[in-house]
Amino acid sequence: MEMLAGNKAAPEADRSKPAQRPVGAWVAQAVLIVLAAYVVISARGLGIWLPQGPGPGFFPLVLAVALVLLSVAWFIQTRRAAAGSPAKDAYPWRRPAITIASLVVLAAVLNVLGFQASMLLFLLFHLKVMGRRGWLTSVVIAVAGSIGAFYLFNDFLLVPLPYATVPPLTWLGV
Amino acid sequence: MRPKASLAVAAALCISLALAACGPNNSSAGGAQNWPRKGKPVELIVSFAPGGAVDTAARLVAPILEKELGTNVEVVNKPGAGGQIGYTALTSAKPDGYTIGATGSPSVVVSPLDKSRGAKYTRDSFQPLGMQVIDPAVVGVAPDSPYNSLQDLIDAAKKTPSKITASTTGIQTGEHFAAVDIEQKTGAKFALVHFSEGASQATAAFLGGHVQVYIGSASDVTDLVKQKKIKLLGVMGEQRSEFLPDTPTFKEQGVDVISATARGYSAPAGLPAEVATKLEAALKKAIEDPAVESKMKALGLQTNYLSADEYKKFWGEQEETVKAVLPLVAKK
Amino acid sequence: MDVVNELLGGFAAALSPQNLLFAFIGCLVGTLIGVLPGIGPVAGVALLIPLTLNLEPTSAIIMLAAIFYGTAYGGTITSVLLNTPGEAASAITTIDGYAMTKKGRAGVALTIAAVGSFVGGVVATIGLVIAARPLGSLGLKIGPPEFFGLMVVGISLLVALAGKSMVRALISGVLGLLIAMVGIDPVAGAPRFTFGSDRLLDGVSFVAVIVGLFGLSEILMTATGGRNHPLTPGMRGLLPTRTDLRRSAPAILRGTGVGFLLGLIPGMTGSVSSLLSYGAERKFSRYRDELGSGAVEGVAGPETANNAHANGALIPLFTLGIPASPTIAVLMGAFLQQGLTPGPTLFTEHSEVAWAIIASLFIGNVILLVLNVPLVRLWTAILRIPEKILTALILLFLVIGSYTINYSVFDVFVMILFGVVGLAMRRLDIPLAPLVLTVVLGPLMERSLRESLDISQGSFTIFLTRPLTVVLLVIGVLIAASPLLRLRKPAALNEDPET
Repeated sequence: MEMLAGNKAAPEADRSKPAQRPVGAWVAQAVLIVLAAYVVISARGLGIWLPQGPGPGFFPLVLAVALVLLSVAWFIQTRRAAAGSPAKDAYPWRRPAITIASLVVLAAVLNVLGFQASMLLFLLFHLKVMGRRGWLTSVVIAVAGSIGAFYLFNDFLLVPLPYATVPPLTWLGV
Repeated sequence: MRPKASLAVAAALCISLALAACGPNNSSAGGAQNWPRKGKPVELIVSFAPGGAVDTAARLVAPILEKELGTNVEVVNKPGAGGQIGYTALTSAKPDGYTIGATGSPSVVVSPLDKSRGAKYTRDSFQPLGMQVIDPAVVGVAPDSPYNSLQDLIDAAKKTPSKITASTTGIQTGEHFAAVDIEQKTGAKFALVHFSEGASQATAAFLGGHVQVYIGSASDVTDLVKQKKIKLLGVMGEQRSEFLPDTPTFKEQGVDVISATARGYSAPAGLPAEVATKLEAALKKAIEDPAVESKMKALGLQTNYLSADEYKKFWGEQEETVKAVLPLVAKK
Repeated sequence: MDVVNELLGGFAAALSPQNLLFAFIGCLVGTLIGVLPGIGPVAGVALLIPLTLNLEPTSAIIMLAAIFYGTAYGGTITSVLLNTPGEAASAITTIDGYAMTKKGRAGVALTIAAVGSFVGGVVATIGLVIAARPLGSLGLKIGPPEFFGLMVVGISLLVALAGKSMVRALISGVLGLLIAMVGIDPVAGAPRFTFGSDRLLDGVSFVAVIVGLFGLSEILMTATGGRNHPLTPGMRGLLPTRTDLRRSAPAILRGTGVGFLLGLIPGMTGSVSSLLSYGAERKFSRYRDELGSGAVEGVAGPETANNAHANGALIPLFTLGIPASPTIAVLMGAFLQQGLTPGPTLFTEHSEVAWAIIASLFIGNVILLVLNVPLVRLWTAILRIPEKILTALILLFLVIGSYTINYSVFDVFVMILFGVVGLAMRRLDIPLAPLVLTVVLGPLMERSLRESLDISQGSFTIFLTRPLTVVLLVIGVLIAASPLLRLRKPAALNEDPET
């Protein structure tokens, strides 16, 4: 019984879909091999072997070689499997891409606008625009999560979160 | 429901704006004469993790500084890269007296000298304010070891070079410099084992008998001495340590090696003179406070106050020593 | 017996209403702080040390020890409910803990975690009382070569963490090792792969990696519609069933053993214990095939191990004065600020305080259990928050959590990067657990190898002349080779009679 439940929770493969080229895996394999190449080049500069055993570059070199071999093995596997394996659903890029972009923007402005202002805008965006919540819920939660969290961490727990560094926000002391 | 809820939102907004208005106001930078402005906290950057010796010392000093300066002193930990993260933060802060930091040598001395670390500061980026403690390095062996004096050990390490294992607390730490300095001046050669995680790892390996010679700070061994788990052969201070009165100095035994960890407080260079004077006076008060001194003593640390000028001089001397030994400890 | 009398004296002191109150407050505050993002036991205890400075030493230490347990347990709560580990040692719990949440069994997971923590903590504390001295010196037997052997055993458990594909599990493991290479290397002190940034001299922050890898990538998966109504907490089964308890018992037992023994070794961290315990479950549990999809063993083992570790790590502190892990180092700082030097001299110079603290460890574990089992209902209520709002709040958690590691935006970017990496790995069916394992073990392995070779001045015979090291290395090789030995076992033979 429990076995079955376990399988259900596993990835959302749909066995009825037609076969598809595993482009994602190929891209990943290429990326891994490029990464390995970079590691090999820098490892050589670090020194591979010292009188007292492996140098700083030894393990990176070994790992990079292993990574290349594993990537090739994976490539062979995917080629073999590509014929019979079910394809995954087309990947809906939009929402995760927006989430990532919003996080990058947040991280970039955190030290400029300060925690309170940037987190307020970030939460409003996610609640109101992405989550389609009402204004009231959005504003209340955003205020609590930004200004509230700031005071909780900064003043109560003495964990400093960033202040704004540009006027006019600095005048408000946020 | 609706009006009630919007009322809540309005209230939340009002409160937040009110709170925001109370916040520190950075816009009008006051002159040096009315430093520190009331309500504007002084940040004390500790470049090491909470709970360590540097952090503990800073947190003991902070409340007294608060009293002396009449404003909040917030201890902020910026640990990482052997102090480099915190030192970078300190030296890149505005020299307005609202940011000071704990500085420990040799870490603060070594990091800018080793080019591969890419430190963005030099010695001149710091303005020393006062030194709090000096913790000399010691050399010890197991209680049942055949070596009973420094000379025994050095003779043995000359006879069988690179065979006697000795611990350090990591590459380019004070212990590493001290060990190389000893090798330099005596012709002995040890098999140095670098415990990059620091003193507790080195102590564990020493107690487990995995390394024969322990090189560390006096403060780390005072309790081991009480437990009779280590036989100290020498201390690398100018004089004997107050905590280890029976341990002769290296100089007494004819080996001219001085090595110590020193901890003090500094500001970014370029502090207005009036601010510096106020800070130095407050630090002197705090460091020499009897309660602070006795707590430091409990930690095995002898308070050794040096004024800003003396600390600066000490710093320079230490830099000279490090520069001399650095090529020998540099990467192979 | 002397010990019994002194322990009873300790209980008398620790059970005073005042100390009991401090233990209770400590557990509660600790749990709340542990639930907050990013603040694990180390930061939690460090933050609250100033609050205890004006208390008398016994009360202060009792409260801090309680905070310490509380934060550790609080970290588990977010791991299980939100797939966002609150601290490093709970990272591995997310795998089965969160899978249980998806099945509506969050309550069971949290209760089992509390019970396991209790058992692990109490057993380790009993060890501290009856055999502190021999156990303390046992830990010292583990020198750098033995440490290296242990790490080889740990890394060999990689093969146990492989899901569908060994190749992809190994890729994940190698990536973890490469991430672990970033920073000042332990060999020559040269910066490796730091791209000239001093932020990376200490390596990539482990917490930022796991928070991104598990927490953020989970959110990104949701955003793709990858999970269908996962957060429907069936309130049924808030308490574990008899089957849950029966299945947890061996895992708790193994977790206690792993955590306690590793806790004795200076330099080992709690996350090593929880990871190795999870690896042990994957290798030895009767239900190993269910692990990864919400098996109760995957929560019981690691959570027990990390609390047994935390309590076991007090043994080197009390017998030798050595803080065996970063968390214990902070606790040691608290001792020192109270003017107490932890170590054997504590028992001769401040015997009453020492025994009161030991007694309070028992009490703290009990309070943690009675406090948290009823609170499980409250915590699981978090899951009733509408998904869109919860998503926004988790994002808030992730940002604060990664920012507060070093108070720097750098780690927020690291977290985002690993969120993307985690998303890619999930989409490509590359398991995350091997990466987590090797990120933790990699640096410890390289360091202990280096130290060993420093001792032998470059001769590898040091690994062959020490019996314990040889045994460990052989075990590691056997585990690593085990998939080869029964590689093509027919699926039909794999069936467990129980399932």
